[in-house]
Amino acid sequence: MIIALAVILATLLYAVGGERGILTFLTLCWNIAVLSLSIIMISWGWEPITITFLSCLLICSATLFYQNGRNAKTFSAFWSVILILVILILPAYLLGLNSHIQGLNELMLREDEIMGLTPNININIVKIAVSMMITGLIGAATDTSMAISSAVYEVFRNNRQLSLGELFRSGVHIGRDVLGTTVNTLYFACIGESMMMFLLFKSYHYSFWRLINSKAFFQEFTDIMFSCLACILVIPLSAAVTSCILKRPEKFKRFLDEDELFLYLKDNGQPGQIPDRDK
Amino acid sequence: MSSQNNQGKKFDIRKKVRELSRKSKLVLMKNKRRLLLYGALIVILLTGVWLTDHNDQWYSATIVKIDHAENSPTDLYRNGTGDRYYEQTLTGTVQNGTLKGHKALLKNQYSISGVFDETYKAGDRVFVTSVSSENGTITGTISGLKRDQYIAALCAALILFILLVANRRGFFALLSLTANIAIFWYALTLYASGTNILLLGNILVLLFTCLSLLLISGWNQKTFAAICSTLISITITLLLFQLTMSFTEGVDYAFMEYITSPADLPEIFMAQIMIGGLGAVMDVAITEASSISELIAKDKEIPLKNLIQSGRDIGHDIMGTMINVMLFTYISGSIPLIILKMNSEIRLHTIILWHMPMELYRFLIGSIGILISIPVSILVSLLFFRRLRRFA
Repeated sequence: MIIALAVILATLLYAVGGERGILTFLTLCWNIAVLSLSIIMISWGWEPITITFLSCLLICSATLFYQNGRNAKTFSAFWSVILILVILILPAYLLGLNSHIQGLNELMLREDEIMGLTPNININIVKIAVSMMITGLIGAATDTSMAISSAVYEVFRNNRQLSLGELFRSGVHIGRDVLGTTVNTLYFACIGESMMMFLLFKSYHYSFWRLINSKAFFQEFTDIMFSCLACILVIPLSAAVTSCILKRPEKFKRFLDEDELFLYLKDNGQPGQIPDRDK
Repeated sequence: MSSQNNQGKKFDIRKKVRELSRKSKLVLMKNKRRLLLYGALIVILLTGVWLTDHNDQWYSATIVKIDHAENSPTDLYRNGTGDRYYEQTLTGTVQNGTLKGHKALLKNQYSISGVFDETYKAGDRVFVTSVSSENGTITGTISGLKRDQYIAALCAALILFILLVANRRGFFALLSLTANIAIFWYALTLYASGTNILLLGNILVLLFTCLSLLLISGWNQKTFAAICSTLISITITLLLFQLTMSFTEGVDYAFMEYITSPADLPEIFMAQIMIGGLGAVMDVAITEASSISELIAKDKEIPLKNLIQSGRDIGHDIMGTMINVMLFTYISGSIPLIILKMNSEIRLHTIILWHMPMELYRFLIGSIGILISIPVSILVSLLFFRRLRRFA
């Protein structure tokens, strides 16, 4: 069944996306491989947050650079995502530590499949909870920052005279359009995932106050909240990073030499004509 | 000479500072209303967080604030993994109810890894059940930590940032989020009183789609095109899923987590995948609809071929990252459990095939939904906007 669905997905990717579809599929496989590898490494007892951060770098660079090419857009999206990760790791860790987010929640403890598992893993499970939060937000953050950096790039391509502030403002403006739908995507995915949990809460007749203090709810809640916060905060960040890079391409020369807008940097020339898209 | 130069520089700097302060004053004057609004918002949010931090008397369950924790190692070593167990003796004060102010003496056991247990420290507030009082000192079992203040803080952060970044748009996004949560909660109540979950799921999808799209993009043609294409795409996805099920061995619902009543598992799973993929499909639909309407508005005579090409290009740009969003949102939740299972000597291969197929199903069907919605929403938007132009 899983294999059948995977085959359908691959076929559809090719049918809808053509060559880009194959790229997407390969990136997907790579991301899943990196994710599994990082999980294996964490289970060996390696430092979970560091491993997660490194695997996020790998995943992010594959999604951006391999799938969408190396240019100013992907480069600035990449840096925005890294910045947002660095910003959010500490609050996530502090919150996880203080609110006892770690471990199995009270609903899981009643499940049969837990019975055979050993609780003696000798890994700090707060850190695992934090790496779970970080992994959850990376997809949303990449999506939003890519949308914004490519929009700012298009604006800049059509009007090279715009100042840093104007570019930033247009980035945030576009971000407002993206925000609502991304938050929606996260919310519905979360509802779909945790529907069983809510049904269980209902059948145990949990009151509202007992619900919001329960660990099971709190785990789901922080997961989606951090994803939402990441995709909100990445909007101004990504707008700022993109406009900075576009306005001062000399400083980021070595990353931009494959970008069509900044080809002139290669031989230290002057900014010339905008390459025509249709050609 | 040089001192004169220096003086000149100083003067320059002073002038600049004066100009800057004048400018910032101007900006302040201009945005006075907005600043006041944000100030009020921050005050309201902080009050809310403070209130939930001090709401112990709202609860009927006994809450104890721990004043002092004493840890002593036990001689419990299991399996020789090096995980240590500790015993905690906690002294605290009761915060609410008739016993308010009484001293409490509680016991707790924890391990370094903390998989099944928790470590409490001074300052934590915990719920205590089966309370018994013995000459002024309370004893009982700890049932869990009080977490509502963290939830309030996270909500406050979300509201503040969403309004700061996206002001009016952010407000509408928040509104749609609140409305959707309310609808979902009401549907849960209906389910508990015996309504069929599949019927509820269908109504929910309809309500969610209309409400969120209307609130996000307003009352206009774009929204209607997006609503139509979302509903069509979801239907096609579910049909495809049913078709695949009838050709393969189907889904083993025993793998679902938190099973309550085994009778209606297939229906619940159906409702789950319907709603889970909905957000992503809506996202694709509204993006396609608004960009195609934008293209037509800019150039009324744009040929059909170019429109389709642009629609496909946009679809290619969003599909990769959208599928990634699905992947990480679904898989991340099961990371702790996977790690636990791997440490219990279960191989990764076995875990993927036998312990987390539900997450994989949801992810695969959600991604299929995204891919189907790309051509569907292009087609629907074309039909909508082209026909309208012909009538005009």
